[in-house]
Amino acid sequence: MPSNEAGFYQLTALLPVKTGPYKALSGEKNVPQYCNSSQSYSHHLKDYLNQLSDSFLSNIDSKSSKSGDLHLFDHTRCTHFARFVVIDQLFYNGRRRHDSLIDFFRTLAAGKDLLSKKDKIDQLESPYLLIAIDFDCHPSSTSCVQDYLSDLWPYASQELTEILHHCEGFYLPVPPRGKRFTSRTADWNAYRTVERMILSHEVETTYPFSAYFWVADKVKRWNPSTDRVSPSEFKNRWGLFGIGILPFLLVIVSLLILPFYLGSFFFNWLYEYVPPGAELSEFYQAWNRWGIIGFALSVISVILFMFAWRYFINRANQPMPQIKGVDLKSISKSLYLQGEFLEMYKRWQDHDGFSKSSIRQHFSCFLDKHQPSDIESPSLQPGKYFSIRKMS
Amino acid sequence: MRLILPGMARQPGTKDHWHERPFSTLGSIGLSLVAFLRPAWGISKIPLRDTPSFGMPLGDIVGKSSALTVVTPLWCSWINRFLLGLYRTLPAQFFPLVNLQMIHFARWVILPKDRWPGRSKKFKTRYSYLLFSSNFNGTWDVYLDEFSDVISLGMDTMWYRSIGYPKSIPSRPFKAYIDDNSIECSYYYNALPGFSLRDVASALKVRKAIHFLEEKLAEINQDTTTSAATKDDLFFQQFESVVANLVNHLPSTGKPPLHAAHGTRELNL
Amino acid sequence: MTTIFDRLDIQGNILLPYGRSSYPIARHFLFHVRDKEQARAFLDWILPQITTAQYFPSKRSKQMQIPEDQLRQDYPEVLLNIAFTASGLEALGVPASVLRQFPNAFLDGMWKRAEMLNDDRADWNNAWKDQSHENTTHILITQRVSFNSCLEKVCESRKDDSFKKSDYLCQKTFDEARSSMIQHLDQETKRLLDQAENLGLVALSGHSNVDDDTKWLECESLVHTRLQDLAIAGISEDECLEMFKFQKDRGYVSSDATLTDLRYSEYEHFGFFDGIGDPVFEGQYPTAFQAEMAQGQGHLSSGQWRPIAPGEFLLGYPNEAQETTCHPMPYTFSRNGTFMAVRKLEQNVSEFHRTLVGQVPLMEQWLDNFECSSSSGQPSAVGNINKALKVLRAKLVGRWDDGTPLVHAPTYESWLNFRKRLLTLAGESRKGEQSAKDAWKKFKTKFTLFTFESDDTKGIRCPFASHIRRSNPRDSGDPSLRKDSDSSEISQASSLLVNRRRILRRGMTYGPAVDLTSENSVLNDQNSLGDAERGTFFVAICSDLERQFEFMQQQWLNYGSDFNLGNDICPVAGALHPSAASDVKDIKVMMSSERPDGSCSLPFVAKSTPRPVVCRGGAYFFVPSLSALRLLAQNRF
Ligand code: HEM
Repeated sequence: MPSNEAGFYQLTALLPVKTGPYKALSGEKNVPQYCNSSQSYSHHLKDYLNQLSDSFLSNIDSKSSKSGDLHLFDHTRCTHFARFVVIDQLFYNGRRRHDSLIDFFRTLAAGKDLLSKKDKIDQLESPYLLIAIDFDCHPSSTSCVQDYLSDLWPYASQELTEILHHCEGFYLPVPPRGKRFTSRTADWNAYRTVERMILSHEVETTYPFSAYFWVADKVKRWNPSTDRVSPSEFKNRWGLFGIGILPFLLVIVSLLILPFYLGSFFFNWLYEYVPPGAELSEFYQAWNRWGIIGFALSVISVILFMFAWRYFINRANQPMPQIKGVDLKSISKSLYLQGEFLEMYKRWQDHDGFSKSSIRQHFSCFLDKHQPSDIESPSLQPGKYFSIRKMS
Repeated sequence: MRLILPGMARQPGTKDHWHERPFSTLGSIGLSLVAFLRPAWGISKIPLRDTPSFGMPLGDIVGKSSALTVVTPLWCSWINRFLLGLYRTLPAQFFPLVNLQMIHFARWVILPKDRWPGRSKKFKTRYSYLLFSSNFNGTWDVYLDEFSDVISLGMDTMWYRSIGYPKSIPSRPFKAYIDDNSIECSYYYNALPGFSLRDVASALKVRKAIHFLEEKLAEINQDTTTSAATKDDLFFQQFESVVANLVNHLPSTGKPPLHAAHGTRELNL
Repeated sequence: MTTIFDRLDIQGNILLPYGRSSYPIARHFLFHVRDKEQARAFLDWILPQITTAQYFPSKRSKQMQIPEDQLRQDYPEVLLNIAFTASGLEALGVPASVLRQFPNAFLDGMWKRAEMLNDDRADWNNAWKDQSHENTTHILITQRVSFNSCLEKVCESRKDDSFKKSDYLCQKTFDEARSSMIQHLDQETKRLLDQAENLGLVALSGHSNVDDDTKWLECESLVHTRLQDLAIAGISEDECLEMFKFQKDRGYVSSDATLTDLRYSEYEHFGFFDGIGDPVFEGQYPTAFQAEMAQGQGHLSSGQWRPIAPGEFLLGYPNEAQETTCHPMPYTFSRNGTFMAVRKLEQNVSEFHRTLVGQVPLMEQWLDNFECSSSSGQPSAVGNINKALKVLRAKLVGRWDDGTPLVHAPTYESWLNFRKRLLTLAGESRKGEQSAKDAWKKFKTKFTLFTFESDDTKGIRCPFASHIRRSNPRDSGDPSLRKDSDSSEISQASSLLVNRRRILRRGMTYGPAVDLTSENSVLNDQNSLGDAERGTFFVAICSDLERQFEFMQQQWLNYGSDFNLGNDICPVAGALHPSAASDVKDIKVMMSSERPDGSCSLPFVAKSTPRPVVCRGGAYFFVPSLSALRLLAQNRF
C-alpha cells in the first residue's frame, strides 16, 4: 500500500464531522470554557484546532527542550508534518464546459435551451475532517498507524479524543449504571475509539512523494572525497511501463478497428440485397476479415487489459525501499551536526589559520562533544526553531 | 480587456469561504484600524481590489514550510489512477521535482465518488475528487511558478481529468485554479520549522562526510608506527579532500523571510 | 516573432540606460499633489518635454544601423522622466475602478512592504515615509543635462583641446565642462521648480544626502583618474607608470595624456565596476543587433541565448510565463508603461572595507595554503596584501573590481593577464583598424557571456554567495537536468529559474567618492569625506514588482536558501531582518577557490558587515507611457 513507503507513512484519513450544535464530550472532567451549544461542530472543531495551533506556535521559539515546552507531536520525534483541515464543502468549479458545437447540436436536437437545465453541484452530507500526517515507520510493519497512535497517545490523548469527538461515529463506551470506569479503563476506551475511528476512515494515499528519500538516495551515491555521484539505481521501469501502457493502446487500437466489424455487419446485410452481378465479393471479404480481426482483438484486449491493469497497479504501487538515516531523529541530528561542524571549522580557521597540525585535534574534540552516531543526544529538538536536546 | 479566467468564475454563495481568507480579513481590519487611528494616513481610500491576487493564509505557514491542500473534482478517476501508476514506474520523470528541492512531502489521493469514508455506498457524488497536499518551502507564488516552469507536463498529467483545470501554462489561470480549490489548515505542525529541504539535503551530506572522516581518523589513529605529526598530516589530507566539497553545504540558520501578508499585517501594529 | 515598439510612446530610460558619462548628473525630485486640476495642467506642460525611447544619434546608433527616420534629430540637452506612486495616481484623480486593477505591491507601496524587504523603517528619510498627507510622495521627476554639449563648448572656446566623447579629459577642461553643466542644470531645475510651484505642486525635501532643505537628490557618476583606472588591479605605482608609458609608446593613448586626467566612470562606492549585467529583451534593439546583445544577457535554453520576452519589462506584452502581463484598463493607460522600484541605499563603505581589510592576513594564509606552488607573480609584501584583498572583494561580487567575471578569470594572476589583454585590445582598436575593432568587440562580450552551471557548477570560481550569482544565477541550479551523475547534460542547462526574475537596473551613485586606493585612508578615517552620506540610488524596472524586484531582494539577497546558503545574506546588497540584526556581528560568506590542479580548495568562511547597505527610503512607481500621461493630463478615464 503506497501510504507506507520508503520508511515514511503518509497517513490520510477523512472523517465526516457531526452536524448539529456542538455538545461537549460527556464525562469530561473539565468542560472547556468555550463550550457553547450555539456553535456547530465544524465551527467548534476549527476553533479548537486553531487554539491547538496557537499552543504549538507560542512555544516554537523556545530554546529549551523541557517537556513542559513540548507540543504533542514534539514528544515522539517521528512526526515530520501533520495537518488537520476541515473541508466544509466540495468546490464547485463552475458549469461544466462542453464543446460549443456539441452543445449547439444538442440544443437543436432537444429543441430547447440547455442552459435552462441547472448544472448538478456536488454536495457533501456533512463537512469532513482531513487528517494528514507524515511519520516515520518501518516499511515492513503492518501496524504502522496503531504503533504510531499508541506512541503518541500518552502525550495527545486529550487532544485526539476531543478532535475525534467532533466526528461522526465517535462514541465512548458507557459504564454500566451506577458505576464509573477507572481512569485507566476510560483512557483505554478512549484510545480504542480513536484508533478505530482513524483506521476505519483511512484512505489510501495514491501517490506519496517524499523528497527525503530522493535526497538520501543522492547522498548515498555521493562520494565525499571525490565529490562524484554514481548513477541512481532508481531508473524508469520501462518494462512495467509497457505492461501498463500496451493493453491500454491495444484497447484503443481495437476500438478503432471495431467500426470495421460493425461495417461488415452492414455489408452482410447489404449483400442480401445487391442485385446479382455486382462485384462486391472481394471487397466484402477483405472487409469481413478485418471485421473479424477487429472483433477478436477487442475481446482479447479487453480481457488482457483487465488482467494487466490489476497486475500493473499492484506492481506500480509496490513501495520504494527504505534508505536508512532519514527518519526525523537522524535528520535532526544531521542538522545539529551541520551547525556544529561549521562552528568547529570557523574556530580552526580563525584561531589556527588553517594549520595542518591542529585539525586532527579539533576534529577529535568535535567527535567527543557531539557524538555523531548518537541520534538521541545532543541533537535538535523537533518542533522548535533551534533548541538543543541534551541528555544529562 | 481584463481577462476573466475560467477558473476564476465564482458562484456567489458556493465559495464564500474564499473571501474569509484570514489574511485578507486581517488585512482589511488592519487597514480600517489604521484609518481610524491615524486619519492622516492616505491609504484608506483605495478599497479592496479586484486584481487576482493569490497567496497563502498565514495559518498555513509554519517556519520555512507551507501547507497547501487542494481538492479538485475529477472525471473518470481511473484514468488518473492509471497515470499515477505510470508515474510510479517512471521515477526519473520526477527528478526535476526532486532537483527543485522545494517539497518535503507531498501526496495525491484519489477519492472515488462512491466511496466516501463514513458514508454508505448509496451516497455518491457526481465527480470523484483528487486531494493534493504538499509541504513546501518558499512562497506560494514561487512554488506555483516553478510548477508551471519546470514540471508543467507532470502537473498536467497528475491533474489530467480535473474539471475546469486550465493546465499549468500559462500560470495565471493555473494559480487561480489552485487558489480556488484550496483549503486552509486549521492546524499545521512542522517538526523542522527552521530548516528548508535544501538545508536537510546539505545536512545529510555533511553527516556522511563526518562519518567518513571519523572512520579515517580511527584508521589513522590506530596505526602505532607513525608519529603524531604524520598522523596530523595524513588526517589533514583527508580532511581537505572532504571538506573542500562541503563549501556549498554549510548554510547558516535563521528564521524564514516574511511573507507579503506578514508585511502588510505588521504595519498595522 | 519580432516585437516592434512604438518608441515614441515609451519613456526614455526604460529601454536603454542613459550614458553615465554623457549624462553624469541626475536630479531626482519628489512632488506632492495638492490640487488635481493644477497638477493636470502641470502634466500638460511637462508632457512635450518628456524624453522618449527614440534612439539618440550616436556611435551606437550607427552600429545598430538605425534608419534616419527613427533617429532623433538632435542629441538632447535636457532629459526629463516622470513616474507616479499609487497615491500619486489617486491624487491625480484616477478612478478607483482603474486603480484596483493594479497589482498589490504597487498599491501598497514600498513603505508598507518595507518590513518584508528587511528595511528598518526608522532608517528611512521622512520624505519617503508614506505617513502623512502633507508630504506623501506622488510624483518622481528626474532631470539630467548633457555633459558632452558643455564639453564641446568648452573645447571650442579653448581651441587647443579637441572634443572627444567618453575619453579622459585634462583636469581643467573637465572642471570647466562640469561647472558649465551644473550651471545649465541649475537653470533647468529652477524652471521646473518654478512651474511646479505655480501649479500647486509641493516639491518635497529631506531625501537629499546634502541637507534637509534641498529639494532634490543629486546623483553623479563617480570620477576616476587615469591613474585610478590603471591601478585598479592593486598594482604598484611604478607598474602603473610603466604600463602608461607602454600605452603611450604604442600610441594607445595620445602623447599629451597624463595620469591625472579624469573621466566619469561606471564605478560605484564600494569600488566595483557596475552596470554591466542588464537583461536584453525583444524589441529593445534592431533584430540583428539584439541577437548579439542577448548573448549572456537574455534567456538561455538548449545552449542558445535569446532575448527575454518584452512583457517582463513592459505592460501589455507577452511575458516569459507565456501570457500577457497584467495591463489595467484602459489599455492605453497601461500599455507601454511599467513599474519601477526606487531605493536610496546608503553604503557603509568604510565599514565594508574595514571588515575586509581585517581579514586580509587570514586570506593570505588561505591563498598560500593551496597556492604555494604558483605564487610567482607578486613577490612584494604590499602586492600580497593587495592580492588578498582583491580576491576577497572579487569573491563577494563575482567580478573583479574592473568587472572581469570570476568565471573567466578565477585567480588573481589570470585576472592580471585578462587585464593586460583587455588594455592591449582596447588600445589597438582605438587606432581604428577594423580587425582590431572586431577583436575588441569579441573580447568585450566576455564581460557578459558566461554561464554558471556549465562553467562553474560548484561555485569554485564564482561563489554561490556572490552578488552576481545571487541576483542573476543564470543557469545555476537548473532543476530540469535529470541525470545528476552525468556531467554531459550540464552544458544544456537553461536559465529556467531566472527568466521571470530579471530587472532592468537604472541606478546611479550619489554622494562623494571615497578613495579606496590605499587601505589606510579609510582605516584611519582621517579623510573628511569619511562620514558623508553616500550610496546608490537604486532603480529597478520590471513589470511585476512582486515577482521580480521584491523576490530578488527578499529571497535571493536577504536570504540564501535557493543557493544552499540558508539564511546567509548577500554581502553587497543584502539586509538582515531588523529584529535579527541586533545580535549579529558579522555575516558569513562561504567561498572556495580553484587549486592549481583544478580541484577545489578548502572553504574560506569570510565575514562581511551585516549592514553593507542601509535603505534610506524608496517607493514603487508606475512609469506611464506618453499616451498614458496624456490621459492623466486630460483626465480621460
Ligand atoms: C548599493 C548596493 C549595490 C551595489 C553596490 C551593487 C553592486 C553591483 C555590482 C558591482 C554588480 C556587478 C556589475 C554588473 O554585473 O553590472 C552588480 C550586479 C547586479 N546587481 Fe547589484 N548592487 C547593489 C544592489 C543591488 C540590489 C538591491 C539588487 C536587486 C534587488 C541588485 C541586483 C543586481 C543585478 C540583477 C545585477 C546583474 C547581475 C547580472 O546580470 O549578471 N543589486 N551589482
